[in-house]
Amino acid sequence: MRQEKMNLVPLATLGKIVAGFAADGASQIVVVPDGSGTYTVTANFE
Amino acid sequence: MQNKTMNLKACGRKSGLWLGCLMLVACAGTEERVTFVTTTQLGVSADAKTQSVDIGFSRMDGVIGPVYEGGAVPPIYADIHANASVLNPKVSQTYATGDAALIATGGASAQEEKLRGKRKTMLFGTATNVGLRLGFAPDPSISLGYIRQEYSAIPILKNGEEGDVYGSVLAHIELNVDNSDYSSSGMGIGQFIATGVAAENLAPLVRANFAETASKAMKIVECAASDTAEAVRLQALLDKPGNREELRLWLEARNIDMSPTMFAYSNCYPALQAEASKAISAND
Repeated sequence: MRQEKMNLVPLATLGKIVAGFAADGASQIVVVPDGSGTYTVTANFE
Repeated sequence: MQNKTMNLKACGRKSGLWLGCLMLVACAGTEERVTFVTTTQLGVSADAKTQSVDIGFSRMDGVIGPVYEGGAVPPIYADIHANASVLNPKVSQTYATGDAALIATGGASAQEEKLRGKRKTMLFGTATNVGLRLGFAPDPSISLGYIRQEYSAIPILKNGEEGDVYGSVLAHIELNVDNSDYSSSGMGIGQFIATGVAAENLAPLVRANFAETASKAMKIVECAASDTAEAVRLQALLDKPGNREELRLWLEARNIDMSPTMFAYSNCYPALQAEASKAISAND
């Protein structure tokens, strides 16, 4: 099990990062806004 | 001891909280015995008697016993690893006292056990419920999930000039955990309890299981997003067919356990991003 967490992700690249994690084989992807206009993306890999 | 046991039974019938009663009864002789109790609940429960509803994970650990002049206390150990799932709980739980606790946590046996001399009564037990439990009398109660109680009340005995001795007990349960040698029974539950030398002999198995569990623990990588020129260049390369797999192999060759997306879009390895871009570009 591995968890990759990327902080301060701007909206402009959010879609590409989520799609990238999915292409890399993530079993779960969680996107949480941090309240400052950026996001935290967490991807879990089995 | 008989009177205390009777008090415990009466108390348990009255309130249903027999572990709490056990601790209260054991308080009468806290310098002569060690009482060690854990209760674990993972799920949903409601009890009309206590007028309470618990949802989620709750655990109580408690020890009553002597502390010596030098600050030493009798060794005890309890742990739990759980996935916090109510409907499909995965639990690995250990409870140990005396030398079994020392051995299970990586130490060595400190006291010599001999089955001779004066005898006193000890208590040790576990109670486990997995699934749905409905209670109808004396008061209605319902629980769904995993509930386990472990308790021991073990007298401290004199061992001549060598000081006091505290007996070993060991209880271990694995529920829906597939990495244990001693729980591979074909069922989802593996469990044992042991006392004395048997507990000490089994304790190394528990210690080995800790090491295996630790090695399988989740690895967490955390970095911030990056928009440096080198990062943006690598990100653009990832959009081309085949480059993602190429970067994955490049990372694997360098023992970097990270996805291509995390490597290219974060500041985890800024110095290596340029090198990776060159390697991938060269193969285009």
